[in-house]
Amino acid sequence: MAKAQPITGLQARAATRASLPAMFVVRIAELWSWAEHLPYPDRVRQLHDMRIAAKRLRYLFEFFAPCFRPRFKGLLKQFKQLQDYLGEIHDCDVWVDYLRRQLRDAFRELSADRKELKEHVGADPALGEGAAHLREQLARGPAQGLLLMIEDVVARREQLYGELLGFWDELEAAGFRAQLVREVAEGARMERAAGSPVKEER
Amino acid sequence: MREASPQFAEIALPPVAGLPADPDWDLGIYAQHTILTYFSQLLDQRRVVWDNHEVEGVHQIRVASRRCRTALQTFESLWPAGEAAAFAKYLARFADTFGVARDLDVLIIYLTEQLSEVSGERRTAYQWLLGRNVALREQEQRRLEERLIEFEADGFPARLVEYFSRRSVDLWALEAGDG
Repeated sequence: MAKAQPITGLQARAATRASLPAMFVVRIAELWSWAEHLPYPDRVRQLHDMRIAAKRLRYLFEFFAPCFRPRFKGLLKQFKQLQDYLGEIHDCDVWVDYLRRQLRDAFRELSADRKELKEHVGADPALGEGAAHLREQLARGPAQGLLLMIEDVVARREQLYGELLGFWDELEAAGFRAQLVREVAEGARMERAAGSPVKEER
Repeated sequence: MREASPQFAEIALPPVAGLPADPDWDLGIYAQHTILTYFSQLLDQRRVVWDNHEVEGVHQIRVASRRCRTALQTFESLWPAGEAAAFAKYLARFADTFGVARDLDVLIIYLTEQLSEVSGERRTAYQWLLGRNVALREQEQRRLEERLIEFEADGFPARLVEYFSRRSVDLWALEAGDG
């Protein structure tokens, strides 16, 4: 997982709103820096990093939710959709790795029976019995089901990936990045309220 | 054999930590408030995870620790170099422990739900996976318990709350006004 880009130069005494651009600019740029990998479905690690970058930006919006206008929720909804695609694709990648490991274990459970077949010389009748036994074990065991599940997940991942590309194109066409930056700028510009509920003791 | 339940430290937070976040605060106060809010949510889940009666406890403690860690990364330049990062590093290791258990919980829920929907070879595979995962999840609970015990023994909760209640702004010295 790629490390978070550092956010530098924050000042404790600075106004919260005035500090928003310094933080959001870094996280927005971080997310978009991964977009160049989107056309390559096999860049699993980069898509995962993009998912994490999206999560960091989402959390930042959550931290500063009181700074934004109510209409900002509409943009967040689209953002959530992007996260969902990246999250589900990642789940598929993890799920397939998991299923492959389980498949290895399932075959390992059969390996004693399979090795036993090698003990026979020529077309020994006992070899036929051994082969039938192994076939039965294979049919009753999880291996075939695991293979079907892998096929299901691969198909699901392919579908999600196609949808993600389409959705990303829509976001880009709508100038989504610029919309986010504008909302942050609006949040930073909103006026300081007359009285803060928290005062420092003098 | 199961370890005895640890005494989960009850940590007092400055009154301002109980208020909703206010954009008119200075950034230092806002940052400390954010960190303490998520850390307090994490602390609330310790007993739930230990008791292991609610599957959501593991998810909630993981989410709270991830948010708290992200807040530490976001605001780290407000404190001397490396100080917030040290807390974040500890929390990352803490959250990792819960990742495996959460994945197993999600898998068990999914496989159980799907079991009635599938047939044939898929059903055989689902049942096989379910059996394996339930056993793994039980083993994983021991790891979670060890980590919770270590968390208390290290005094991490008190250390984090003390640090971010006092630095860079002493939140105990603030008055929570009526707005």
